[in-house]
Amino acid sequence: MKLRERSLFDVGGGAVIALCGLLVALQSLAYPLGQVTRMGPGYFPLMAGILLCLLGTLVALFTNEVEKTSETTRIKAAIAVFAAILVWALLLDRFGMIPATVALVLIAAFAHPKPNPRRVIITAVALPLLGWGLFIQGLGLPVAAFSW
Amino acid sequence: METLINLQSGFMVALQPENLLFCLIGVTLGTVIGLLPGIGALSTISMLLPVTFYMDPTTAIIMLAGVFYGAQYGGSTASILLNIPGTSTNAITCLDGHPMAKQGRAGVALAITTWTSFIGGTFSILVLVFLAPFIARVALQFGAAEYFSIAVFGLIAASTLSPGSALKGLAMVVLGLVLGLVGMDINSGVQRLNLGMLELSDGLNIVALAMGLFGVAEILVNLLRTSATPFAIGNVSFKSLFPTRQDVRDSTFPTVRGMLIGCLCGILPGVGPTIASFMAYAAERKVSRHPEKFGTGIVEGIAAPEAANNASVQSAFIPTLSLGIPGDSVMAVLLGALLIHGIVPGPTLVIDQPQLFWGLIASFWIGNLILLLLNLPLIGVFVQILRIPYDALYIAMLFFICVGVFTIRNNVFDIFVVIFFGIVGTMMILGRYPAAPLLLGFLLGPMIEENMRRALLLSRGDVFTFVDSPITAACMIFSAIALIWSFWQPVSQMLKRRRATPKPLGSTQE
Repeated sequence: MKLRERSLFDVGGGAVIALCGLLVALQSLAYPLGQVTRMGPGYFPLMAGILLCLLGTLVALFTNEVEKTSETTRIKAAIAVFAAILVWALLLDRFGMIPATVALVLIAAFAHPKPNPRRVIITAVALPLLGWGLFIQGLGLPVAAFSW
Repeated sequence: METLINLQSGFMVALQPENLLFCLIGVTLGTVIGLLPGIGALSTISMLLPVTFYMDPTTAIIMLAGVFYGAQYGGSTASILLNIPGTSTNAITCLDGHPMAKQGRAGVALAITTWTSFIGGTFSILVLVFLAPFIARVALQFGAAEYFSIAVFGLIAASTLSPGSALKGLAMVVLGLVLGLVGMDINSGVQRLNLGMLELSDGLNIVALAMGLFGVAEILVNLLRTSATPFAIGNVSFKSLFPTRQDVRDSTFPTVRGMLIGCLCGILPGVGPTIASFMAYAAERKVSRHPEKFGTGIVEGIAAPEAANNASVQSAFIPTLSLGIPGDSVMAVLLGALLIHGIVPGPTLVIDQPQLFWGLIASFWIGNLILLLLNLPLIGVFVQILRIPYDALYIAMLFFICVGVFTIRNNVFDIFVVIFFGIVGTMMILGRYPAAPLLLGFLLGPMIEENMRRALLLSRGDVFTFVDSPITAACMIFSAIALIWSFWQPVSQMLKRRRATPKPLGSTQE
């Protein structure tokens, strides 16, 4: 098995997992370890970290599962989805739920390969109103609809 | 006799107007999201979790469970009409269901899958009624060592038996264990692995984790793969729903075999409804006198897998309710829902919370009955739901995820957690790292650590405490077999391949 014949998801993914395990193991040394009879808070994390590091290394070395397909990774969709959620979280406290939700709809719309402008506008009006009625009026969510 | 009295009180609970209403809401929602390709039961249950904070725990679990088994009914409809499985558990139903629809027998296919689903579900509910209290009674005598070994076996089985690389599954389990460590150690009060963030001192929230790994990641991966064309569907009339006598005869034994396979698969950790339906289909082909006809639209090919997946979703509740050990990710989230309501699942649940345990079981059967009504006479109405365009739907789902996660603590911090695990989850789907073992590890991690510490304290550090009772020894032996088997397979395949293609002498490697 040649390294370059294998997907980044197998080799790199395993490496990231191994690194996580290593960091967990190192961090857990900062907690009292204790003995086998009376384990301290560091004992189990240390073992889990070492095991994770080991398994990550094995994944990086031996798995060969993901074919190098030409699956068009549309990075735009990913950015739009995560940006929409992030913007909602950031706008919620400062501007209230309705502006945050309108922003979420408008940003998330770009995640679709062919956004339909008419449906996006309908969603941008209907969804904030639905959210306001259901969560603020209905369930009493302690968030302002608008705030400046 | 005792069982009958318990069941009767269970029906009293399940038939309370509020519980009946939320059972109806749950199974209807389940049918709808099962129908729609791109939304699974898991993300729906995670999205609904925050709403259930305001409910009585029994009502909440009745509704959430209804979504889970309701989705199995709806999923087959999409498989038959569109050749696209509504949920992954119905993928195999496409093979014979869609050809039947092409022959103009869509109504018959829908009717048969609904009936076999009902029969499979009912059978597993009966098994659940008798088996779960029995297991719970045995489990009451379990000590820390037994719990540790059962949980370890559950995790190993879940990661090695699920499809795909066993190594990746095991790595995900341990990653889940590590994520479960975040926050305060209950024994010493020491803050662990919280990256210096005060918000993490209570640990990661299971809702935020599940929404990121399953909800957001699922939406995004669907968007990456969508072809952006709306579905074309015809109408299904009530009259077309009646199978011929020959259809009924042909599907009887496949249904029985399917429900037995499904019930067994549901009890085993890691073998969920998807594997159950594949196994049932494969078994049917093996015993059939005309295996070449499978895939052309015969009723045997839809009856067996649909009976199997419904049987397995009901029997999956057996280990979850009696031992507190979930076998798959949906069960893990349901268990998380119970924990949020302050109910610790395990053998004491049957005794301490009889109204919840028996009420839930009774609601399963009522739910299945409602599903029968929803999916037969009203199927024409539900089919129209497939006309909802995905572009309006995914935006609404994102919004519900945001609000849902916010309501956990009325704090936006958990939304950042969702974004982080959404990115991780998307990478995991693209790189074929299974997410279910991660969630199971996360949920069982604290319990495993706690019981390991207690067991070693009691045995004065003697590790043989984990093999010296029949239960612990059996768990360890089965775990070892699962590990060896799953690692031997790829090795033997590699050896076979190497033997098949001997290296030519003197060939220069690149």
